[in-house]
Amino acid sequence: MGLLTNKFAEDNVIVAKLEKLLNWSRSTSPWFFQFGTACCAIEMMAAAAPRHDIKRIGFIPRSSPRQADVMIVAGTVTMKMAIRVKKLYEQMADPKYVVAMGSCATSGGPYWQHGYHVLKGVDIVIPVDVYVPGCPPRPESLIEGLLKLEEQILEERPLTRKMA
Amino acid sequence: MGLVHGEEMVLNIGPQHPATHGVLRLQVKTDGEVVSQITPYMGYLHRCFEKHCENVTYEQVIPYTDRCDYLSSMSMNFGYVVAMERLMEIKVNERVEHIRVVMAELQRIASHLLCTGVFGLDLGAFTPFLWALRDRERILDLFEMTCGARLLYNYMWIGGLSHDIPTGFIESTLKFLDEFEPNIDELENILAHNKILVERSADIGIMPKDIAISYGVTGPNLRASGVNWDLRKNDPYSIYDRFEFDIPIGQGMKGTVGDCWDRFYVRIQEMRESVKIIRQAISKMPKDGDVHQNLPKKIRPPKGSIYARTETPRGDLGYYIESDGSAIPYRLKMRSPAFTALSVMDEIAAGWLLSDVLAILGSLDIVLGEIDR
Amino acid sequence: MSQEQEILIAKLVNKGLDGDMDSVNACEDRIVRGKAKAMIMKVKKGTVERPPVPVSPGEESSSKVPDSLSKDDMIALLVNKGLDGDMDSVNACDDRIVRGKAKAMIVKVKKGTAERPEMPLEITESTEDNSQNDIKVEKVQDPFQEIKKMIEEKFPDDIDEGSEDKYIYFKPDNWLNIAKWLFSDTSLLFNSLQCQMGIDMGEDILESRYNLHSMKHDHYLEVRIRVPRSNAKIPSVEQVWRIADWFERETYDMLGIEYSGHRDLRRILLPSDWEGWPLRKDYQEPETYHGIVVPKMKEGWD
Repeated sequence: MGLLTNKFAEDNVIVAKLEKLLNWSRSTSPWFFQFGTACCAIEMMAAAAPRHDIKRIGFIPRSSPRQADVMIVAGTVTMKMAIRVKKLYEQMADPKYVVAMGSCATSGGPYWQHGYHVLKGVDIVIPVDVYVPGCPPRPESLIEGLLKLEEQILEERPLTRKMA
Repeated sequence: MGLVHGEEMVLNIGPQHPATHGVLRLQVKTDGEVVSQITPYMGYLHRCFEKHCENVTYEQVIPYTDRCDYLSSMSMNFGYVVAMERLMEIKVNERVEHIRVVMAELQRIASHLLCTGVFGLDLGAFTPFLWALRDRERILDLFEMTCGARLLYNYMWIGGLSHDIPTGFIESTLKFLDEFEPNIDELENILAHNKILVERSADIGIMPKDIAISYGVTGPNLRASGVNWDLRKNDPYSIYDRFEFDIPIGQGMKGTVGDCWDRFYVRIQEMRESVKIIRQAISKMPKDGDVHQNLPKKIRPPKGSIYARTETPRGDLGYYIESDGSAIPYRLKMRSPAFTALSVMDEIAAGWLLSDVLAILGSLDIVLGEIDR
Repeated sequence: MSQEQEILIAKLVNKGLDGDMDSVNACEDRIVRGKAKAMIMKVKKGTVERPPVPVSPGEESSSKVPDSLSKDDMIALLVNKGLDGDMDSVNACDDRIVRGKAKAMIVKVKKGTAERPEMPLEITESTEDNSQNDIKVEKVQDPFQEIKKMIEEKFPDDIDEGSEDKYIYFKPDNWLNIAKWLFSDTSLLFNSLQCQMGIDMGEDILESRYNLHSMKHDHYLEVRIRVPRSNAKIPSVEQVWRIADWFERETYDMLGIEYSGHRDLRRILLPSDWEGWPLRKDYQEPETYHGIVVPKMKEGWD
């Protein structure tokens, strides 16, 4: 509302593309599903803590996948857990996004070489939108990754019919 | 559990649940609201730590030990380095020893802060969690000043440290300690003597002495059951025998000895003792000394094996290292304290209500990275 | 307090006050160690005077190095002492260059790239006298030898070959009875199983190792049991120490050693349909698990 107050002398009508309006309203408050498995989960908690506070940019933690828009996969995903990750992703409602936080979720992390039980990157089982590298990434890196996700959402075109 | 018996219901808590303990699955068999049996299922974070240790060199194992118990990685490094220095008979200089003690005790305070905050969070108190995290961030600032990392440090090396403490570290630490001591009292007043928390945790999940010892429980969980056993006093390693500090033991102030409240209160008291140790270590620290002085050129321990234990915030951590004379360990086993703490869950939680199960789990202070390795 | 113990306490107190706490901590006898530490605290506080360094002919001169030797002879003496196991006298030498050269030579002799130098003639006679006193002191303070003697008296048939100074090998058949005796015997009282692990020693042998500790008497014991790979069965001790339940499940999960008598032996860390025993030295990673590819695809780089 801040941009529009006291700007117009009379009642008026604003014309905009519907897609832009939808994108703008969706990108500024994606609620995230805190799926923390390992060390990166602690940095995700620290990002929600008073010093770095991601709630002020609109990200509110939810514990249930049904209520969330974004799933932040923080930490190593193992073979035993991979099946459950897929199930949780399917339980989220559309439109949904995934952020792979940390090098373990991106590509297996320090366990890539001899880890027989480690999934080498969570994008083997679910589609990922933003990768945040680091081991663990600082809360500031996570915030930058989330803001990039917001930029991505702003450029979507959900209403246009897609070819093929 | 009265006259009306219904069918037994099997519930799953986890593997994904909003508490920070990690990915753990508890299969709970309940009769109504009362729990009759709990079976923990683990392995959702099994990252093949021991297999990696058989394929990398001794120095390269240290970052892997960090990631096992990510809430107290300085203590994990410390345990490994103590074991290796005993195996290779390396003696480090005094400055390194004092800095190691300061870092280990700061890490103990940070870990206990998170544990007490999360215990309150599990039972519904959100504000003390934020206060605890605020103080923890200041400790992480001190660590970042020294070695550049916030959570996983790779700081203690075999024979020394990776970085010396910078100028300004000691003044910042003393300033932090002065401002932190009244915060412990504040946290204690809002949480430990809070009527709701006392009702939800006193007299619940009582762990008797002999069960604790037979199940291998150590650390604050064992001390809360009344056993006076702390590795820093009973089997001292490094220079802990030069400092004066007390060992808090559970006394059953609000209920029975060995209940959840005791386990929670012992951690708050341990924070105070750690502050004492840090002050003593800083006052006795020698001003000069090179932290890279005793780093060996090549790490090739003699053939043989060693088992060494140190005291981490969760209990006593043991490393069993078997070496065959080469630069790569033949076998390395980490005996983690949280593994044994979780094994006692069935004994102490059966018979309580479903909401008490979470209080008991929170008071045991487990970290899944260490259990699954 | 016997004469020997008093002399030892005085020696340890002096060493500790000079900064060498390691030799105090290395002392095996708990009473002597405790009294030495208490005395060190009192001297530091000022309530008690520092005891004089005891002059007992055997032990003192064996760890001191006389100054009247030339540098080469000193290096030869230190190398011989170090190779015989006495690193304390090497470390006690004040001259840094001599100490460094002696240590470097010890490493070379152990590797085999240099020959062991001859002992300088002046010293040989007195070291022969001292060696007997050293052995006598060590025997009194070594609780492991006493425990080993007790075990040999009670279970003579079950000890396997290879028992060394710090551990005992048992045969697997009677292990449960031995464990019950170790737990309940009043002078041993091993009530805490610290760590249990399995290890693949190669050559078709798997071992299961137990680290035991007594909280009352404060002594340690390491037990090892050796089994062939084709018939890897060991009796389970979970009735004696309840934590053995999970430790044994983990060893079964990682190495495939079966523990007979265990009431619920199944995998604990890996999924229940995983194939293979990962910590064995000849383990091959599976290609896929439930359709998910296991090893990392690394086209183009090694």
